[in-house]
Amino acid sequence: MKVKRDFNRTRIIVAFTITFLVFTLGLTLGMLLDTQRIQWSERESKQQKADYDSLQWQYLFLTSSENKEETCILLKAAFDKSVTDLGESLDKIQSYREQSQINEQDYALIERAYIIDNLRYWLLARQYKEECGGEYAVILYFFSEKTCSICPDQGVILTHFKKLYDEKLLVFPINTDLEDQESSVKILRARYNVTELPSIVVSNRKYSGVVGMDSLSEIICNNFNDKNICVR
Amino acid sequence: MKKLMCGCILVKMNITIVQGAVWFAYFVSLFFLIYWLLFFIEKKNFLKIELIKKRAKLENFPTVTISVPAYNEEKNILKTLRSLVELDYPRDRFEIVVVNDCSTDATRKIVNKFIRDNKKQKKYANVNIRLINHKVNKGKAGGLNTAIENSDAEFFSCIDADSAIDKDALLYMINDMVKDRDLAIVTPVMKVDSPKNWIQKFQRIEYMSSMFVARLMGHIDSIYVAPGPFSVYRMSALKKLGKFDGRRNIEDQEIAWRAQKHHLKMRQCVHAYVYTIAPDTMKGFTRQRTRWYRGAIMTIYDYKELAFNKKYGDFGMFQIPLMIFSYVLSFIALIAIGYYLIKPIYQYIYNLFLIKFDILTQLKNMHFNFSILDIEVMQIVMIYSALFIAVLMLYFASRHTNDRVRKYGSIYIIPYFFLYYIMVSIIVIKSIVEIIFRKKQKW
Repeated sequence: MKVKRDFNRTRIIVAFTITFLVFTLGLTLGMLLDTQRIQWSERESKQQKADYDSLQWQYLFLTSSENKEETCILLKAAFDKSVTDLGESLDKIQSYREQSQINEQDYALIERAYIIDNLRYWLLARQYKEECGGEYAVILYFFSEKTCSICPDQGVILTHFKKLYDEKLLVFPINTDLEDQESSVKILRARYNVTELPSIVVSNRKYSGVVGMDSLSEIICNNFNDKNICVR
Repeated sequence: MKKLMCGCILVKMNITIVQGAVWFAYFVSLFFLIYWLLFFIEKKNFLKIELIKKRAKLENFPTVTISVPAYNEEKNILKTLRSLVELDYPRDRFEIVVVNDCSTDATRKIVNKFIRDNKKQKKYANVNIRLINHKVNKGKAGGLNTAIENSDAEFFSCIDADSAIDKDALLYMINDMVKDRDLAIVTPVMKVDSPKNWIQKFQRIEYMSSMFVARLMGHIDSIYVAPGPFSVYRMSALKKLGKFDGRRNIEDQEIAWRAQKHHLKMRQCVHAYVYTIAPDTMKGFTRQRTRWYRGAIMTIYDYKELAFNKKYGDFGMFQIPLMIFSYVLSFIALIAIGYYLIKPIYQYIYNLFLIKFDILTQLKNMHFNFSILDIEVMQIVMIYSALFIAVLMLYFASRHTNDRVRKYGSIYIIPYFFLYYIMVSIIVIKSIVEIIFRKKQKW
């Protein structure tokens, strides 16, 4: 009456092999995609550099030109577009890096290039304001992904204001995690005496800790001569 | 600063652990799904032949005792008894034994009246109905044991008061028993009786697939439950196994495990349909499942020497590990839901709080710059390959249990795969917590 017990090894091995293949397929596709993402990021980075070179030439032309007003308008438009592109692709690269299980170093290198780009644009924005005037606020945002748990809060608030003011507000995020590799970050930190994270710098003034909605709104508004621009 | 850093590293590590756990859960789930699919494909023709309805031709109808354990069943008992006397089986070859387990309601009176009325009717006059009254409350298992002690039939069966049997179910089951003299227990195909709300409809889909898998399990000698409503036992096997054990409140699972331990043969009779009333409230569902899962986990513990034991073939090396894994999976599923669903929702609401719920600005400036590079390939391959096989198996299940998945609306299939398993996972964890808690109390 007893059943003849059987342990079917072949079926288990076949099932395991198929599972393994599906798993490997997923992993391989993921890795292929990651490679594509890195290529895209590098392309974007090159694009940013070309944009910057072009802007720099426009700026040089501006300083030597007589008809400043017209060039100013053109330059501002090109500048806004470049800074927006820079912000968007940086967001994307950060999310890609978080998903990536491999290629950590590649992403770090790309992000470093982005920091330098950001700092260049920031400098250019300051020079431009001197030359052309114009109503817009510039914010330097110091943060860290590794050692600062409240930084995302500031990030959310800044993103909100960026949406609110659009081209009237320029935010340049500086990731201090890359300080050791990128001395420009160190120089800026020392210049504004940033000891605490997050910190923002608006019109050469440093504000430490998370700056809330109301205070930030006030700070940004103080930058504008025309108070009508203020959104309250 | 240093403290903060440690905290952040821990969070980062936790995410990696969760991700690893999810990958592991996915890998093993996919493995088990593929195993059943392979097994189904391997035996496809055989399973098809098995489904062909052959009218059972018996020359000598063996005797059967059908036990009805009853405790305060005044509402259902009449319906149950009527369905039993209507069974398509020679009326002088089976008897009904109602075991009244100290009911405090009118159960005893109703049964006595039914017996008297039945004798007056010509058609059912031959059916022998007996009522045995317990002096003390012995529970369901006790009732079954009383019926066995008072029976000299060749086969034994029992029925729950909340279930209805197909007329010809007994005939098909006895037919299987007569054809295969090695068979010790034959289990029925359980279906949810006319599901009305979404809880019952979910359970209907679940019964469909689990009955299909139970049938496949039968063919690798891995059945681990002989459903309470209307499993048929060979009396000689029952005598060998000993009494029903009600200590864990799941005597129908325990007896199957004991049969496995004794290497007895169990099969599902594909033509024997039993319709059971599934709980229709969350509370009732939770109560029933908690009892099942607690009992199931404790039974695995009681019979742990069978696990990973080559002597028990596929049951020990495949089925028990699968069951253990399914309980581990509940934990992983809940952790994953926390990390991938609840945490982002919480984060979103918190972010809205930071910007003082200025949703209008968010909406006004919303723009999508989605590119094909944003797709998370690994997750898609993971989710869809498993889902594809699960849906495929459900399709085979519906065809092989002579039913249509979409009979009660197809809309329930989608949340079934997501919501239902979350529900079950929560109940499993509740059961495990209860077990641990109870144990501590004992100590």
